[in-house]
Amino acid sequence: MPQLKAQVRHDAASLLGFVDSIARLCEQRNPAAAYLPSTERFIEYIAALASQTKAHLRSYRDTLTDTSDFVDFRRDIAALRAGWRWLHTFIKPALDADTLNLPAALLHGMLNRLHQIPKYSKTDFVIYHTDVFNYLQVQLTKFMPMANKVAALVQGPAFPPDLGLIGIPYSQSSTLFVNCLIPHEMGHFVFGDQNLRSKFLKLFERELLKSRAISDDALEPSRYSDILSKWAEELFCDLFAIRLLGPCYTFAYVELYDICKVLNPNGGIDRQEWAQELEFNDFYPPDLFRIRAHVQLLDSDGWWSEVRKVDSHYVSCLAAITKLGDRSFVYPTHNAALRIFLRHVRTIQDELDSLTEDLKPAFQFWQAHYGDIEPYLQYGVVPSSIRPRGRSSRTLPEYYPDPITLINAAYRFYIESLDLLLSKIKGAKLDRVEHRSSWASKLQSWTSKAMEDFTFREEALRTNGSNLKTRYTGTPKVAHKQSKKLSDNASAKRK
Amino acid sequence: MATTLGDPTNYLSLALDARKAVIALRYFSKTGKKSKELNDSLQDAVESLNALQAGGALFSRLHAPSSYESYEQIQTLQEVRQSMKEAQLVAKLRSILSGSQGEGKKVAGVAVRFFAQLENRAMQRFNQASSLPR
Repeated sequence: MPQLKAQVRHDAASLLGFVDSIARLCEQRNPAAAYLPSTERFIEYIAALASQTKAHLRSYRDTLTDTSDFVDFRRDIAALRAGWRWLHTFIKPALDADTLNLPAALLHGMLNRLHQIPKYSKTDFVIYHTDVFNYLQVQLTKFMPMANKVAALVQGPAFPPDLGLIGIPYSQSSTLFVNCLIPHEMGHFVFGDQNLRSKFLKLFERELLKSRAISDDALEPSRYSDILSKWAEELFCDLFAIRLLGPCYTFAYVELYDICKVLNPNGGIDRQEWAQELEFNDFYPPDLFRIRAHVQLLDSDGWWSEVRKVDSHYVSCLAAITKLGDRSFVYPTHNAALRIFLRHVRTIQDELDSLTEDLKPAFQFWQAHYGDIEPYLQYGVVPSSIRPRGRSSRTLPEYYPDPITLINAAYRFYIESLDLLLSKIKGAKLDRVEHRSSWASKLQSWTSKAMEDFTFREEALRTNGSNLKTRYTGTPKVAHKQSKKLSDNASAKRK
Repeated sequence: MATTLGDPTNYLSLALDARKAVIALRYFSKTGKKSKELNDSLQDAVESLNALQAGGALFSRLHAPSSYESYEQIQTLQEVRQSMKEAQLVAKLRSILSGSQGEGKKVAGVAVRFFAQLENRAMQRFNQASSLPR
């Protein structure tokens, strides 16, 4: 057997090769691919960390002296390799997610909304592709600390604190509606950044012990506190997504997880048949509980008064779910723990309200503009600029609906009025699922294009030094007047 | 005790924290200097071990950020504490924190063994959990 020094030299070289292969992946990425700035930052970070890791491995010759140093360095190598194995899972998926394979316009709209929260005005997200059909929180709360722990072993760079990671299913990279689930993952970033997990762990632990619902054996309180905190986090992230994006989040949730399967022909829910859908498990609240909370928030935010009128089985399902009381839900492992959680659902919303108090309400614009946007979609016109009809056929000035209004309008049209579009398409049959699917896809493309146009316009105005803060204030007429003034000022400056 | 494997990230996080503690302890053993990383790691471990021993509230006694914030991490800590059977483990860790350099160096070996075992166990769980289909 080789001597210890030679063994460690071999192990260090092996790890260096592993890290080098990852670094080369970053260096040799497709030159024709364009990436979001956040992805570029991520790739640069990985390259810098790889460089520092290799330097650390090369330094063993100078830093190790006695036997215990060599033995410990071998453990260093094992820890670093485990860390890089973990990082590795995100790198190629991030490289695959170039701008042609991302819902860029939707992302931009969501980020703009997030940036209205002062603490997150500079936050950005790296989007990567997953082969798991789920939106991955990526353990957003964990990526940065983990990357920093790997970096600490090699005196490497700290991960940018304003950067998060979100995984989206690769097959859905260019679709619009399903990607409305993305803000839930942003919620995980916020939850972690605000250290809410620690807050809820302490709260639930205190409540569990006070209620004597569990024994005070060493691990029992921590086990159930942990579980209840996970539920709290998932619920917070759902509510955060709705606050950010509106009811299209709920519609996407209902669609992706086939929630309507619980709806019986009478529009109700058979609780015996769907008993398992009412059960909490160790990781997640049940979908029906989450949806019920969605509707409660949509109601308090004003959306529900309009959403409830939408003629769609999605909305019928939501209405049926709201009839489920707290007693409908169970946690077979420990129902008493569930009762404690249910008593603190309001606390979760209070945290959300406190964090999002700077978010401007989005409901009014959707309510005001849906009637104008719907005809555009009906006739297959990209709704970038809307010239609404006033009373007595008077045409009001045109305006440019924002991404949140657009996505919610489009989703409503999709679930309620797709027939209106199909009936105008030669050869399209209302009862042919492939026709419906195809034109739904086109609907998403038009909406995406309108969102892109909004972004381009914003950028153009910003480049000309115009103040865009008035974009979301006032009535649509006022907002239009303001944006027209900005546009006129910009034109005057160019002359 | 059969252990259900949890989130692999929690195990890796604990393993890396334990590694950092071992490095800091070895530096202390050689030079007598206590780094901030060492103090933080020891303080965190002492608080968590005390809370486990006392029973009852655990999270309420911890200061965030802690290496023992998830059930997987606490469970791993408990397993190491029980397997080490080290009498006065908490006292020995505390003596490095607050005792003289000489006192600290005498028990540094115990601390290294503790964190090394924590690292080993957490790393093993990470490797097992991350190879499970998810």
